[in-house]
Amino acid sequence: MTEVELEAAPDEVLVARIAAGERASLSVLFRRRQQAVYRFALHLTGSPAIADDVTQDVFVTVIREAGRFEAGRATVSAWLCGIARNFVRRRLALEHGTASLDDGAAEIAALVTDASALGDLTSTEAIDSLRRAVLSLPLRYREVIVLCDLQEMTYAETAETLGCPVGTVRSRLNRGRALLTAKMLDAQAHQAAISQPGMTRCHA
Amino acid sequence: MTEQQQRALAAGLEALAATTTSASASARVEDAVMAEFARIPSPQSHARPAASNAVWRAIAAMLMLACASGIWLAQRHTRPAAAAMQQAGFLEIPGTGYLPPLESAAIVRVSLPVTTLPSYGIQIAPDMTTESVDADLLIAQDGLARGIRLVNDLQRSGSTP
Repeated sequence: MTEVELEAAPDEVLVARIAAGERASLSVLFRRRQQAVYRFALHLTGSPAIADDVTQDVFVTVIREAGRFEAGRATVSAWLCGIARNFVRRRLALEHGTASLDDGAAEIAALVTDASALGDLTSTEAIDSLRRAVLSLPLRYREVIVLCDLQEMTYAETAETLGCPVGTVRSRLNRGRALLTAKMLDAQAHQAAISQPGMTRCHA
Repeated sequence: MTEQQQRALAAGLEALAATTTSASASARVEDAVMAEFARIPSPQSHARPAASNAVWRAIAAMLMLACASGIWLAQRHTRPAAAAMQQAGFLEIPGTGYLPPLESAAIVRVSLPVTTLPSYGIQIAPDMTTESVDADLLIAQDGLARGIRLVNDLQRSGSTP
């Protein structure tokens, strides 16, 4: 296969050729998919260094496990993100302990019922605040927000990546968005309170 | 959530996504990946025909069985409780060897996040998609867990003790 043909080859063909030991296919797949894997890890962890490590771990896994990939079961994108997700979970578990990965039950109980208008979230400050809010979501909601809303994966692909039914993706997405809204309303209320003229901070 | 909130959140998330559209792994990552590829001596080691895979799996299974039998027989004489535990399908949890011998025990079924399995001495495959798994914990007379036994089909989906 020529270089041009390789560039045009579907992901599944590249993975099969990697399994057969073809270096050029690995190079093409890496250049085609590394950015999505890196961004996924970056949005989940907020750390460029961890995102680099995870991207490397994912493609090293591809080298070793390409022969196990079953084209009919999932897309290559979903497979790669699924591997990345497991490496991210391991890193987060190592750094924060397993308890913090899925501790959102209490927060779900306090889901937003506030109908206040959500201010503009496209300013630089608001985007930073939103990034922090995404990172503070319990991992199960953060994953679907990142895959569906930030990486524009379909529900079906997200379900393949996470190994859960599409219905679960939908419900987690709804809850994740509601949690994000609550966090942003809180952040905006806090910001408004401290920027009101005449207010002073208590340093007791 | 109101419609206004949904629209504002969608716009914010779109703006957040746009901040990383050009983000990508550093150059050292590609170098490291390609170096790893070169490190593996024979290209054929990447690809094994299905029949060959089956043969290797059979050999590996036989070796594992032989090792497990050997360990079981060796421990049968020295640690009867541990042997009985293994006979019941429990794996000894790493780091419990120094604890007092098992005199009586209770079995408690729990649901564990897959990410915790390595701490119980069970390896998980990198591409595993299961989130949690049901397991039986063997709780000894002192209230500390000594053994673990998976109760679903996790092994088929990628875990190895």
